[in-house]
Amino acid sequence: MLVNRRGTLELPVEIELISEDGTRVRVPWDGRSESTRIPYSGASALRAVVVDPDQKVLLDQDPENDFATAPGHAGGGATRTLERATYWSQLILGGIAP
Amino acid sequence: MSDPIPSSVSTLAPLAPADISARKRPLAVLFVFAAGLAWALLVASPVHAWAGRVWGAHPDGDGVLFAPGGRQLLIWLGQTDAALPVTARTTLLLLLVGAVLLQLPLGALLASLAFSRTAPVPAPAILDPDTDLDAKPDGDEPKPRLRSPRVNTALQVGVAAFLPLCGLLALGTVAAIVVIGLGAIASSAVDHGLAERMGDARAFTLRLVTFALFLAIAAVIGVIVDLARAAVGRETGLTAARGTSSPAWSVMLRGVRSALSVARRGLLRATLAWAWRAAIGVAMLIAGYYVAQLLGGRGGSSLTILFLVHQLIVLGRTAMRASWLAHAIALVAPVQDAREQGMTKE
Repeated sequence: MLVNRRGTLELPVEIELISEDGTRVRVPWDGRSESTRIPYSGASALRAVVVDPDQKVLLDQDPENDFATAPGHAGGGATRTLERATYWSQLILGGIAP
Repeated sequence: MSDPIPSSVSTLAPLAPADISARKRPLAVLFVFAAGLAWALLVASPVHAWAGRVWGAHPDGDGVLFAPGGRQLLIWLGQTDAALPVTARTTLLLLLVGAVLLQLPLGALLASLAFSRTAPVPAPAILDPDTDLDAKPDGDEPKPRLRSPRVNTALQVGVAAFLPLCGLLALGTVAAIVVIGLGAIASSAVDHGLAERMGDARAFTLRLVTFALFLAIAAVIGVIVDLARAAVGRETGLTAARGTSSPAWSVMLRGVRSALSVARRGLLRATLAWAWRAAIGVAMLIAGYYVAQLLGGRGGSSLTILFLVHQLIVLGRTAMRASWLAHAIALVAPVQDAREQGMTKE
């Protein structure tokens, strides 16, 4: 797995490797080089990778590029946003059009 | 002005005030809830699509947006993504269109609450303006079954009441905005005017009290507008049953007149009837907030449970709203019938 650092700040981060069977392994990276290759040798194929899974690096202003999913695998989707937005829409509609 | 009488609408019979109850119309309440849910899903679809595009590929999905602290959510909403203004505009437009379109199920609900398919009580009992709303019918007499109007009949009344209800929506919204705006200005003036003499803390308390007073006025205006909605729904059903119709503008104005007449006779009583139901609705929201905190609901079964809890809250609030509207119809019915009786005598 190839992980790139974009920008000039060198901060240590954790990289979480998620396999198809749901196993999660965390690997530390000191962030000094511009990129690093992380070897993976789990029992099942690698499904996804998340950089800084606990969001410890508060300076990161672009967390949308902190994850990747292997081709052929779906992510978690956006059902939480759908649920929240639906509920709030119901409340707002109830307020403005009682 | 008269239209051909649709056969199903001509079977509508007005209910006596004592028989008007939201508990007897659960399907109508469910219909309003379902219409609101369907439109809310449509309103939520742009932001859902956007979240799916950005966060859908994350192994935990958009659950990361709702982690404690909401940092990812704030960053996501604060960034300069071209999709943000498009999503915001579309969502706002859908909300406004929905506010208008949902007057249709509201009109159908009002018709369902105010009418039955049979004539349950003799006309004089309905027309008597001094009818005791809490009076119970004689126990020994068998009560006729008060069947709910058919769905298509209620919808026909809803369509007929659509324009007057939209007019009331606009009127009520403008009135509420004006009163709340005046409240913001007045409370700010109170705060700034008294801060030196009374101190910041007391002046701020008075600011809050002043604004709360204006909010209470806005709520009372909302009660009057609801009474007008009830009058519009009932009058539309009555005229449709007779095979006549009136211009939307005059129906709306007559609704406002009926509402003001009820308000003159018992505004406090009507406001209290609205207030305790509204308080239950607010309590449901607060309970839902704590349940959401307990569940977390970032995905899986907990998200499903959270969805069901939220929908139960909205359904409960819809039921409370229907209960209040039923009460409002019972309040305006004697006034409307007395006015109609007076016009007939003239």
